[in-house]
Amino acid sequence: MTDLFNADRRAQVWEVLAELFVGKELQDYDYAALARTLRHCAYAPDELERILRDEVAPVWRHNLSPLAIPEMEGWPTEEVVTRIRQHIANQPHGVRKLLAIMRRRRALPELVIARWTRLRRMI
Amino acid sequence: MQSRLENSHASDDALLKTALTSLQATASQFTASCINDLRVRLQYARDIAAMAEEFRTAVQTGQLSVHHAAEQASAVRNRLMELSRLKSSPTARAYAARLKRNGRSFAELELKYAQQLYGESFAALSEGRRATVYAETNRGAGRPDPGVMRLAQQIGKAGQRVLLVSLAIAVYEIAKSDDWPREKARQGAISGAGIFGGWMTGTAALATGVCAATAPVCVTAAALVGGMLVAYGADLGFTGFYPRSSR
Repeated sequence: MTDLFNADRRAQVWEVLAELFVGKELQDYDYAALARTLRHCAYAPDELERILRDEVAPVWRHNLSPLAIPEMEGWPTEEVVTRIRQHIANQPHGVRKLLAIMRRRRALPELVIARWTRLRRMI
Repeated sequence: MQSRLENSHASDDALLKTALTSLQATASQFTASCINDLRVRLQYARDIAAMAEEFRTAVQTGQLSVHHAAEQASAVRNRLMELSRLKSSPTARAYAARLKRNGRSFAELELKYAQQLYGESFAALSEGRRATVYAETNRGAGRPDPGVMRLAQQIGKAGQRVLLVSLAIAVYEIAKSDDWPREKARQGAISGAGIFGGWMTGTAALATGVCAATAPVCVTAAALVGGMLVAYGADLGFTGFYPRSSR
C-alpha cells in the first residue's frame, strides 16, 4: 500500500516536472496548479530538484534542444511514467555510465532553470 | 633535386586543395542546414500564432463554436508540427524521430486545462467554465515560449559562424588564384555540391534504412561524408570541363 502510494506520488511529481520542458509559454495558472500538486506530494524542494535533474531532465531535455520542434502541451501521465521508468531501468555501465554522469552534470536548460526557480518559490 | 622539390610542392598543393574542398563542402552544408532549420522553426512559431488567432476570430464572428475551434486548433497545431519536422534538415528530422513522443490528445487537454484553471475535472464544470477551458486551449496552441524561440536562434548563430569559415576559404582560394572568374565559379560549384550532396545523402540514408530514422549522429555523418564526396566529384568535374588556363 505504501509502495503504491509512493509510486503514485512519484508519478505525479514526474508529470509536473516534465511540464517544465514544454515549448509553450507557461501562464500564472500553470505555475499555481503545478505548485499545488507538488505541495500535495510533500517532497522536500531539494529532493524535487534532484528528481528534476536525475530522473526527468535526461528524458525530456531534448524537447528544448535547438534542433527540436518542441512539443507544446506536454505528455500524458502514462507516457511520462513509462519513459522515466525506462530511463531509470536502463542505467548504463562502463563508458556509457561515465558519459551519462557527465550529461547529468550538465546544467539544465536556462528556460527550465527559470521555470523551476519560479515554481520552487511557490511550493 | 629541384624536380623532387617541385613534385613535393605539387603534392602538398593537391593535399591542401583536397582538404579545403572538404572543409568548404562541410561548412556550406552545415550553414545551409542551420539556416533552413532556423527558418522552419520561426515559420512554425508564426504559423501556430496566426492559426490560433484565426480560430479566435472565427469564434468571435460566430463561424465556429468555441469547442470546435479549440479542437481544430489542437489538431492543426499537431499537423503543423509534423509538417515543420518534415521540412527540417535530415539531421533534425532524425532527431525529431528519435524524440517522437505521444503528445496529449484533445480530451487530455480538456482535463489538463480544467484542472489547472479550476482544480476540477472537466465533466464537473459548468458550460461557462468549459467555454473558458476551450478558449484557453486555443490560446495555448499558439503561444510558444520566447525562450524556446531564442534557443532556435542558436542554430542560426552557429550557421552564421560557419558561414564565415566557408567565406574565408572561398576568399583565400580566389585571392591566390590567377584566374578569378574561374575560381569564383569553382567555389560556387563546390559549395552548391556540398549542400546538395549532403542533403541528398542524409535523406537517402534515412530513406534506404542505412541509418535508422532515430539516429541523428549516423544521418549527420552520412550527410557530411556524402557532401564531401559530391563536392570533391564536382570539383573534379569542374576542372575537367573548365580546365585551368595554361598561362
